[in-house]
Amino acid sequence: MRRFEAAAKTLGHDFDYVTKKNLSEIPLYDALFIRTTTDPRYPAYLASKLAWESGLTVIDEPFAIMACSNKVHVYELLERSNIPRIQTVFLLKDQLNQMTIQEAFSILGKPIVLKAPYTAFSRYVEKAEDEESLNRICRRFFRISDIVVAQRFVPTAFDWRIGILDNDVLFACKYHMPEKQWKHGAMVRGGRFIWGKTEAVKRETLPPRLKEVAIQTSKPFGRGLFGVDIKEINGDYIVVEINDNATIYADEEDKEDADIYEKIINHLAREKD
Amino acid sequence: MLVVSDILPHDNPPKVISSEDYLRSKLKGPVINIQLDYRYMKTGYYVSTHAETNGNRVIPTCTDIIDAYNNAIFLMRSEKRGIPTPAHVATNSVEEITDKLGFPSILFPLNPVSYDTYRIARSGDELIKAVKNLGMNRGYPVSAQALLGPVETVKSVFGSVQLKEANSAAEKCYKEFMIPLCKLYIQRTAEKCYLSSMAPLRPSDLEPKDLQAISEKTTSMRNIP
Repeated sequence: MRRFEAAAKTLGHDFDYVTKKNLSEIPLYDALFIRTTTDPRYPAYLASKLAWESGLTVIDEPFAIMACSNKVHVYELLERSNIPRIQTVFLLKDQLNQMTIQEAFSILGKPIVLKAPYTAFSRYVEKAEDEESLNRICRRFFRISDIVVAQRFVPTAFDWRIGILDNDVLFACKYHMPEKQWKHGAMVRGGRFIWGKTEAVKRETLPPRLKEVAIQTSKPFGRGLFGVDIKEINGDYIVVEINDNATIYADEEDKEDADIYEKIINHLAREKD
Repeated sequence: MLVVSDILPHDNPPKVISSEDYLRSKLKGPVINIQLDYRYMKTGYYVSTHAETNGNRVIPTCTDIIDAYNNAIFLMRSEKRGIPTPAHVATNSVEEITDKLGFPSILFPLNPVSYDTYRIARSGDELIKAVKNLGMNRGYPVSAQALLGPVETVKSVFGSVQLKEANSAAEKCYKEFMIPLCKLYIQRTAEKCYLSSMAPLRPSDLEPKDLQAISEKTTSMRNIP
């Protein structure tokens, strides 16, 4: 956050912090940059809406939060936009039975990756090897959502994370999987959550096709800041998912392209369309 | 216009399709989504998601659902629309609520778990407890309103309510959020009715005459392109 603040001040802007305690002050500002977990159920959506209705430029916009925070919404939009993506089916709470489970395994193979639509930071994403584990995981996820996302398991050593701002590439990195794990963030024995290495890559060196897929993925979701996760398979690229509120850690995502902060501040400072 | 509903009989005109059948389909065309409960991530919400992501117009939209059930946004949009609402503030600060609203006040939760509930605070102690409880130990803000009169609930069917004095507010509320069925919390004074909150209906709230009214309304809407 200090790097954002420094960039803003260097560019001649005032920079303040807003919390749950002073949400009502949001209309006093020109722009809002949200850096907390976004979800329509959380205060971040209220902050975004308040900013939007008051005429501020805001990252993340209410529509971006609404669409990206629910993976059912994400995959429906990706399908409609013909974006190359991991094979996905939806499991409905009231229709989960032996037949639909067998159908899911038949379409997606084994194991299946199950995602709660409200997944964030690799949490609530689990593998189901068989009917028993699928039932067990879905029962938990169905406590909150009436639909669970099921995907084909496509193991890779890393996922591309392409940061997109205003439908253009902002940064790029490889999110490596920790040893013996299949996703970038994983819960290990002892209840610890661990992360794989983040390897920044200069955006100018990215393959054109990778850039194209990431940019096309962002368009249905708006012009804000997104993190598009992409797998590289046999020289082609398929989208895992798109996230609003893209993670930017100091000396990680920003390591190769240090102008990230300036670009975001300039985007926020533009006149609202 | 396609009617998607889990409460209307499927053999009644107009033709009604269940939520599950609609979610498995790629049907094209405008949709009216009739549910008791549109809460985020429930089936009723996903019907609207499915309609929108497939390029179809839908009543209600996902944005309207999320906004209507978030008390702070509900009040903000209602106020903009000219619907009488009490003075309100969204915060987890007891001091801000006291400064801006005084006592008594009524508080609605803005956390991801609670719905269709509220607390009334008539003193500083009660306010502290209410903010702590509804805000889940102040992890979340609350939506606080000035309490102007007794709180009543009315059932709204396409903006029509039994309480005559609340009709105008309920109609404007429907025009703003387009939520076909809901429960409205109203604060009632001698002069007027103030819109306070919206919540889902429960199955026990629905009467046979409501189903009749819904069928008639959806029939009249059916030919709207």
